[in-house]
Amino acid sequence: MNSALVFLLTRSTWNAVLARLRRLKNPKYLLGTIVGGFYFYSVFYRQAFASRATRALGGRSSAADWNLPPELVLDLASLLLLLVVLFGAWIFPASRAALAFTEAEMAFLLPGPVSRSTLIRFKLLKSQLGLLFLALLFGFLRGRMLHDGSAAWIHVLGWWLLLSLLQMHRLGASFALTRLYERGLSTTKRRLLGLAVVAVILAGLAAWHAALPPAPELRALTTAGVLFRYLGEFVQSGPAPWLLWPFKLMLRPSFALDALGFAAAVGPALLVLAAHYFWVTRSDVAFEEASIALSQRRAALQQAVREGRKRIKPPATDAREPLFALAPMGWVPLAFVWKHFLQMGGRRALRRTAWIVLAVLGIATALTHSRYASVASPILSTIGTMGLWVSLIIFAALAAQSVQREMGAAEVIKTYPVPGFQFVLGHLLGPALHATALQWVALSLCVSDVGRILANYKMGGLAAIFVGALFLPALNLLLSLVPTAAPLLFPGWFRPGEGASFEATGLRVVSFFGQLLFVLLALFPVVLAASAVGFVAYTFTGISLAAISSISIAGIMVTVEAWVGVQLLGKIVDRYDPTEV
Amino acid sequence: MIEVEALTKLYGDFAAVSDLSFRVEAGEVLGLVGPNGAGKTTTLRCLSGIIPATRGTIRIAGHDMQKEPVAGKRTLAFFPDEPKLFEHLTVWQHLEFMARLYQVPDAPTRGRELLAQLEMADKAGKLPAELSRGMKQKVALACGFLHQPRVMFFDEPLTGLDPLAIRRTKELIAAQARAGVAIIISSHLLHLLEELCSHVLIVKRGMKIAHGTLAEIRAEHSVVSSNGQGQASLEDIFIRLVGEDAGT
Repeated sequence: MNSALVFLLTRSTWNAVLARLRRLKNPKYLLGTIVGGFYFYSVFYRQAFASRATRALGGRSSAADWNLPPELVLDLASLLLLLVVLFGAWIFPASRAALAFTEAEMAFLLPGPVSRSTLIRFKLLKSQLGLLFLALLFGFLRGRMLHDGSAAWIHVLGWWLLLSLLQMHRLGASFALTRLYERGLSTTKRRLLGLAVVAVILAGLAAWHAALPPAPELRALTTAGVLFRYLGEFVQSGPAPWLLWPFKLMLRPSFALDALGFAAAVGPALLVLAAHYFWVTRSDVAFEEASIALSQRRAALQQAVREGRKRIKPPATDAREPLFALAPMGWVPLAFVWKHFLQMGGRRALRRTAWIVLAVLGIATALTHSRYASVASPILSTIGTMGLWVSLIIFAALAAQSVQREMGAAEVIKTYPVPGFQFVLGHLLGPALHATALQWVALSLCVSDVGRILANYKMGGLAAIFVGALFLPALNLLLSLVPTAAPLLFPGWFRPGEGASFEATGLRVVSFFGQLLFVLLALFPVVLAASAVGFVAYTFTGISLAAISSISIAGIMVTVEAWVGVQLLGKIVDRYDPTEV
Repeated sequence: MIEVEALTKLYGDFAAVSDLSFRVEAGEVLGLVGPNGAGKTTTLRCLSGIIPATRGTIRIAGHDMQKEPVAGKRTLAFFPDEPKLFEHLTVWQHLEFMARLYQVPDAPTRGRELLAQLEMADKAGKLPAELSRGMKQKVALACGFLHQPRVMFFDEPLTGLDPLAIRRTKELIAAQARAGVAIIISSHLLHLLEELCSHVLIVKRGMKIAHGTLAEIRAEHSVVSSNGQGQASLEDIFIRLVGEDAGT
């Protein structure tokens, strides 16, 4: 390969490693790396070698549970691989011949004196690191699923060979299809041709189906072992062994149980891989135009991720009517709430949502007052309760994303004459109110059968739920504090769009436990105080007043905690330095 | 109006800005020039309160930016090189939002005047996606001018603008200076700075190497015109003081 491209690859990789190592001078990154390393060790490495321990302990795999011989498992895996190749590469390929380049590669390599085949070799070589990572992941998963006693490195190398083959086959197929397309074969014709090939294969299979033993009873097929054995007989008869032969060659290395078995199996697999390599690198297809389009799509997606969006959206072109008029003077955080609701669709979206909510509540009320009430009420209550919990968890992440997205434009935002706590309050309050509205709907579903609630819990129970609902915005605010604080405190760790790394994973682990600890610490005094007040009220009055008073105390305490948290978070925003890495 | 004393910004051991001191009075326009990596953008970010200074004092319209950042920010406007607008807010909604942030009581009247002045009155209901690069720049200018700041910072204000838009932006900046606003412009377009600025501050590796009016710098450093005719231009001064490695 072109020595300049080798230099580019090796230096880029080496520099990336050095940059990661240099970052470890910062104690934050060091901590993240240690925690992340431990996480990977405990989850991946140890599990990948668990097969040996299982063998030592006489562990049994799922395949063993079904009494499937290894050769049959290999046959079935080959059949699966054949189908993946056929459908993934030939019938439903992702796009026309295209290689994904980075923006810098597009700027320097495409106009540079580099041949197509060199570019292909460069991309194939560059992708090996990613494939190795995937192979590690799949090797680990395979180790967990099939405790067949084989070594972890065999799984990983086997998967690496297989993934390389799939990558090259997909690329070669896309080149071949592009050539056919350029010669006038449309997408529809290609799909029809592909389906015709499948039909011929199926017809062939059907032809020797008669020679097969009779299919088991439908009832027996519900047992996986019986189904797999039948399929095994199917693929071991007629021309199937010949058809699956190259696929079996590729799969044999990963099915080897020891180093000797692997050495015997790897030679033929490498030959198949080499054949693919020559096929792909000798294909002289114009992939540049499609590659540029693909690379631009990827760059736009990366940009979207950096800005906190999950997908590429076309820029908005329809002006939205705000939910309320924003007067120039007044409480500043309201400006951020106003902007939030405008971004979420404004008045039109609210009207649409209101109709949907009314319809849902109408149906719920009708159901709970119909003759199906005994069935509908518990279902609606379950849906409502689940909605309530899910919205509480999801909102915290969404609110944190909102602040993180805004801080992406810190160069403008930090010039606003707004104290940090007002900025935080404004940005969290919008999503909190949004979430509260959803939670009220969920609560309404829970209590849609008012008659049953009144019968079981009296008026006090209903009043307690109502009082609790009033404090939901504060609870939402409280739950969003840690997810919001984390990227503000450690901006270098939360750069969206950056690849996975030990330190980033470690940070997420730390962040998750931090959030858990914070919620426990924040809610402990609340529960304690609410219980004490409730007990006293119950002793002197009754259950209704006890419920109302304890929920009121809990709500007030949560509000105070949320307020203090917002003030502290505001101080973090005031000190936030967007240039910190 | 803008007072900077011993401003220093450190990133670990690296000093992006080192012991920088200068003043800009009302109505003055200071051109901030220097080679790439000299610390111009970092200086502007510190002055506008975007990033905290490691050491030193910054006073904007009498407000210490460390002790009263909100009061200081209320008197300034910062214009980044790329106008950053909210995707879902129309031009007019941008002005409404800024009015509430900066508490501008006469915002509706002033907003209409500004849009008319910037020839954007018919674009009030448009979203950013429907505007050209120059129009977006005008929206950013309108947002910045709305609260009548006493101090303005421009970071490469003419990047990506067509000749007509360049002319209009220059006129707007000059008009603001005539109205008594203290302005700092960071740019590599030395002829623009020569045309607009009353004072020049040349920085290199985060340190001040020349400061004053063009005439004062010429006299202090005895710089002569490169072609031997007439007075030395800002470009002559820049190349002489910053050296041959200016572009690196």
